[in-house]
Amino acid sequence: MTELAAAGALAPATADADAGTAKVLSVRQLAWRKFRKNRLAVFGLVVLALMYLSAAFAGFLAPYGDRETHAQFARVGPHGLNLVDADGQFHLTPFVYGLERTMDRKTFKQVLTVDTEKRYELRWLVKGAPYTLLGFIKSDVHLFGVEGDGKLFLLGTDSKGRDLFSRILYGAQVSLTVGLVGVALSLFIGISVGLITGYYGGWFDEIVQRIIEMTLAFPQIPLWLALAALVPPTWNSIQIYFAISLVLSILSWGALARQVRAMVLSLKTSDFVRAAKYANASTGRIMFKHLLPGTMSHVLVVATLTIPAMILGETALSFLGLGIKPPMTSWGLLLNEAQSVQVILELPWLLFPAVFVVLTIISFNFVGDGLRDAADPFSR
Amino acid sequence: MLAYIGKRLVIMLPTLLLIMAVGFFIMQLPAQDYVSQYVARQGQMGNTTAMLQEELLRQQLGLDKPPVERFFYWFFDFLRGDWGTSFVDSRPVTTIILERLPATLAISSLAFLVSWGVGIPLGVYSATHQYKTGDVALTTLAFIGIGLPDFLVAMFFLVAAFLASGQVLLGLNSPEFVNAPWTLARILDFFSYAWLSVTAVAFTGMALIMRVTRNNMLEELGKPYVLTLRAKGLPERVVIWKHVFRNALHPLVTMFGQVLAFLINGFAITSAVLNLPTIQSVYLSATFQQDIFLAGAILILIAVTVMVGNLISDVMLAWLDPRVRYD
Amino acid sequence: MRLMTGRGSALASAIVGISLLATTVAMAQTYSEAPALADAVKAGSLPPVEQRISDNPLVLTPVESVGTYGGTIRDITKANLDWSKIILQVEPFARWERDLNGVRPNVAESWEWNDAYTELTLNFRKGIKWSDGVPLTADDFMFFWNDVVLDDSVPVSFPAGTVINGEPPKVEKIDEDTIKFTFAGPNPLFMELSSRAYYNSAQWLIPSHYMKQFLPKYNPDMKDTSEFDKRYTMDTRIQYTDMPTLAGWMVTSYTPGQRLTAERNPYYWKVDTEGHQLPYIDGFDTTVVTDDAVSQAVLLNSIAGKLDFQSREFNLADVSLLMENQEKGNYTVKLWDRGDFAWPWMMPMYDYKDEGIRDLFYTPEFRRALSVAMDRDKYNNVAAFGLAKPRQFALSPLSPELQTEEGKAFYDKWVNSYIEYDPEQAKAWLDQIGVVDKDGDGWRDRPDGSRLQMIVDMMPGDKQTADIMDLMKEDWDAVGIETLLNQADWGTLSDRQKAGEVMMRAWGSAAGWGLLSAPTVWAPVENAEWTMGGMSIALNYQSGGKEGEPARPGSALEKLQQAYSKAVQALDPNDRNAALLEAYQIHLDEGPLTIGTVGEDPTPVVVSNRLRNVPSVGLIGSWDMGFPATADPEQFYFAE
Repeated sequence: MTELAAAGALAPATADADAGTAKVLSVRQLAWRKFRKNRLAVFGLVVLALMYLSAAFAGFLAPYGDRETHAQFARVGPHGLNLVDADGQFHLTPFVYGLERTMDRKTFKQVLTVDTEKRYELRWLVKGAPYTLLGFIKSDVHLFGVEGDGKLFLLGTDSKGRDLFSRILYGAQVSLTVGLVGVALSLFIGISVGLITGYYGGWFDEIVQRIIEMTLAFPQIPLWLALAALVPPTWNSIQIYFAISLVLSILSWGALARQVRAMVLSLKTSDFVRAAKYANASTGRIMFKHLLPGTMSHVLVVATLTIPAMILGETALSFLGLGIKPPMTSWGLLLNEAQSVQVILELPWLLFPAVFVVLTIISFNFVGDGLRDAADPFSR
Repeated sequence: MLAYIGKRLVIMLPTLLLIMAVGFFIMQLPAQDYVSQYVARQGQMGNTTAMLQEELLRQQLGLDKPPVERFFYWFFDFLRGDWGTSFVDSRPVTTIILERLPATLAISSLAFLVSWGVGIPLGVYSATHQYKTGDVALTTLAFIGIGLPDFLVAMFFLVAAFLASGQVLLGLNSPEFVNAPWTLARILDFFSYAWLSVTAVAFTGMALIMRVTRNNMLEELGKPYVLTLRAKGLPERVVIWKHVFRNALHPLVTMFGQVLAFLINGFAITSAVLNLPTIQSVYLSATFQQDIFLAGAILILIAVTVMVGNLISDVMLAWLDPRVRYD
Repeated sequence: MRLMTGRGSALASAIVGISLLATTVAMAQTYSEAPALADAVKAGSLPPVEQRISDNPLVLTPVESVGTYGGTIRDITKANLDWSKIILQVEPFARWERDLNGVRPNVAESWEWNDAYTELTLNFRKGIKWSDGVPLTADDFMFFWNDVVLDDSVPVSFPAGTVINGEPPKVEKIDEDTIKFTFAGPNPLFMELSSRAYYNSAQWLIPSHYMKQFLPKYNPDMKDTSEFDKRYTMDTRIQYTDMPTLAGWMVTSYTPGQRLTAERNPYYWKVDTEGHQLPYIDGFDTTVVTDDAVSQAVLLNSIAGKLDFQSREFNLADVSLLMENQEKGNYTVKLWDRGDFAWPWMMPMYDYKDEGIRDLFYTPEFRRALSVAMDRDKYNNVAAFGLAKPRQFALSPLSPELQTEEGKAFYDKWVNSYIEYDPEQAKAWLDQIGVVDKDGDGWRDRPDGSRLQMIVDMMPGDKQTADIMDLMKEDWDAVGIETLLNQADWGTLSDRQKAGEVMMRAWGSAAGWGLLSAPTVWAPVENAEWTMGGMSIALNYQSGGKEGEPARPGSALEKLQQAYSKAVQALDPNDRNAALLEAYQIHLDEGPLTIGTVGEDPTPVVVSNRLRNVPSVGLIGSWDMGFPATADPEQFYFAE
């Protein structure tokens, strides 16, 4: 029961196989153990770790630079690596075929021919477009690429001839980071306010509830438009987005505060809280050591569901013309470029970023689930 | 309780006034008002005479007065029931809203019913069969629903439906049924279009509800009373639905308040993309074009629905959970 | 067929007039009409066709063949109804010729100028009637002039093209069908100017018998002119189904955001070469769609074969899909021209607040370097699917002055000047004028050593411009010019431009030429956002030197302003063309003064295979040219 755990009862002792003494694990260590056993949660954590690492090293991992265009190969489908060539021969080193582009003047379709005569081998640690890692490491070495005139478009190219795989990596840098600050702030404010108002109640609660109502009733779109008007045009894209997402998340703490407050209201009168009061526990202790863990599980679920909301919010902003602007890229922007009948029918590979978005969300949710289960030592 | 409700309703009024004021002023913030945009558009088409009439047009639309004065005019007119005229097509705002209300409510309520009506049972199933194939499949589907932007999902459905049936399911009726009386034929036609919009909108909502229900259920299922109930020999069905489910509902109830606002403020971009004649889609265009009376009126409606929705949530929470007391 | 539009050569007029009369008599016309109308005549609810089509109906020559009556065109429009307006509301005094080589009589059957081009006598078609059967007379126009334009309480100012040197014209009624304009100065292009789409003379023609009731002056129940304004303004006029019109079809129903229908006008005053009253087609069934849904709507409905005639709202990206599905949807894709001269064109603002930048702009080598640093083929491939043409800023080749032998040769040179991709040459020119990297940061600096940044502004929502700007930034960066791109909405941009805070602006042009369609794109003469050179400089010219700031003495801009004055004052078309070519020569010699990228994008037009008489040539981009109305949709017909 969460109440018992929240009451800070001693965790059960576990026997240590080596020494003869009983080892006492703290709640935290116990939780971690629990988490580790949850395979899905670990999977999620691993995926997220990989994603964030990839984003951090995007320049190195991407075969092409973030502004690199291949104008004559715009709108090309995935053109990847082969191991077996046209004659049925196996090659140890993967390679790509040559690519030719001509325009059929009758159908206005651009015809792509794969030239199986030409082969370009995969190379490691190639020199390519320069980039900056982590803000200060300059380099132009890419993990892999193909030599000479060869083109490696693992996931195809977009309407301007930019390699989608590379763009997804660069886009990750924005999508995976921009929402975090906002969410963190949102959570901090939301939880604090929820705890305080739920616990104390009274006129303070009333006022805060009205303020929350006002912020929740606020229609987003005019607010976004107004904010877009206020942001100085000299700011670069990422500064603008940080600004907007910060303000939006500051407004969205309200929903979380309400839910935390609801749970506090119902937990407030429960036995363990009364017990803590009688034991002269300070209000702070009651709130943070007793009430908060009770709300933790719900808060965690909300948190893991807010991050995707931020990613999607960014997509909506891009759709309305208010978010990240090129040449900066994000998954939201990538999906936005894919938002048309023509793309779905003719260039479906441009929808690939959706897979990454969904994967990220799944991972955040598995991790969230795992955390929730782990924090509750008595769950199945 | 009644006293509490009464008190809340009374407090709503100053909040509403505050929202109206702040909302109105926020809409004034972009430097371009409707007339400037209109003149600009005309200019782009080559109609330069519009520029000469800019001041006169402003005068006509009342946009030449200072914002504070305009706000008070608007505020008092609004209370009297005169919600102003849309600049774009010169029709009364009330007409436009009422005209779009049926379609809006139809789609939103259907979407709500589907997403909650299907999402909750699926969530319960998911929780009671945790980590089994069904759960994994549903969970994956849910993530896709949450992960993709709803207008992208709408676009998919549109294209898929088109490829499968050759029908272009934009809007809510075939052209010949516009303004036709509501015969059976028209009703059937409506559903033949509406299923697309409802499914697209409900898809995301259902995913969310399913997840939240699942999480709440799992949390409840971990509690000792469940063990007790099972030990008592109660059939699983009763345990789940009569006890666990009831308790798992609480957080859902607090979400219920948002549903009211969702009715007229949800799926705005999807509405635009699928050409649905809803309040949301006209709200988007009104906001971008600075059609302030129309945008303002809808803003108020949204605000009112949010506040009333919250009140309903709080009341339902108190009703369901005897531990909750409003002092 | 051009009736007399030249100067008052009375003999010519007489000869033509007599022969016309003779033809009319000789033809002893039997007119015919649509079956439904014929039934109405039999039933007594409509007068016979001869009494409806005016004494001198306009004869339209079918593009392919004489047609048959029947059918409804299905199409799609955005919420602002622009598409419907440009079909249903373009009935000016004169309409553009189908090949844009001048104008032809429309509501006006003839007109005469005096030698000085200060007096215009306009003859309305005798017997022409509004769609409710009431005759159109000079009184309608006098009502417009006296009770609407001249009345300060009605927010309608002097129509475009009537005010010369700040003075309005005098308008008098000569007889029932004739009015006379006396302009304050020569105004030779008035007929062409007033023919532009639906917001010039098409708008000035209002049914006084209907409109009077909405003016407080005539109807004491009206508190203000708001009802009148809504019906006068072309934005909303189309919604009033009870308002009489002169067009081939009358709007019969309008459900906002959903549907618009139109039916044939029984009093339409045009016939085909065999005396059949036009239009052939019964009406329109137009679906209204939100802006965000319109791309999907037109594409999917075309493929599904549900559109009969649609020339707007398509994206270039959809062309291949449209082409692929022609058989399936039973339609043909015609490629009309967008008619633009550059999409986008780069407008350096010579009135930018920073003198150093101004110096650079006034230096031809700088602009030439910027121009040849651009890889236009790449822009074409990427942004326009290879379908557009790389070109320098040069007006549309359809302009009359560029259609002469001399004009064509000149055009060829102009449009191809400084468009080769030659970054080395760009760098050489930049080095030559002292724009080199002095502080070693990798970017070139100004000759005086201070930082050089090119800041280009554009409006959001224009994908082709945005795409090309991204590519152009790469190209300019590559030659060492640090380039920043910025997006701002129209209003913000306009304000900043007026204040001299916009360095360079990029946007897609509409068709422009000569003195008609936005002359200010080639000479800084009109204080509009699309003026070349800079709004202050244009304002300076427009206000006669009183406001704004002048172009630098001796500069190309000043020369252009002088050339424009000369062209505008030319009365004879040949003199005018010569003056225009002289002006354009300045662009060629000292330019590029504004820089073009790619242009002349084709636009797909979906035409049902059942629809006939649709020309293969048309212009979409410019509203001024009034397409598709200029293509005479009244003679389209369905072949069954």
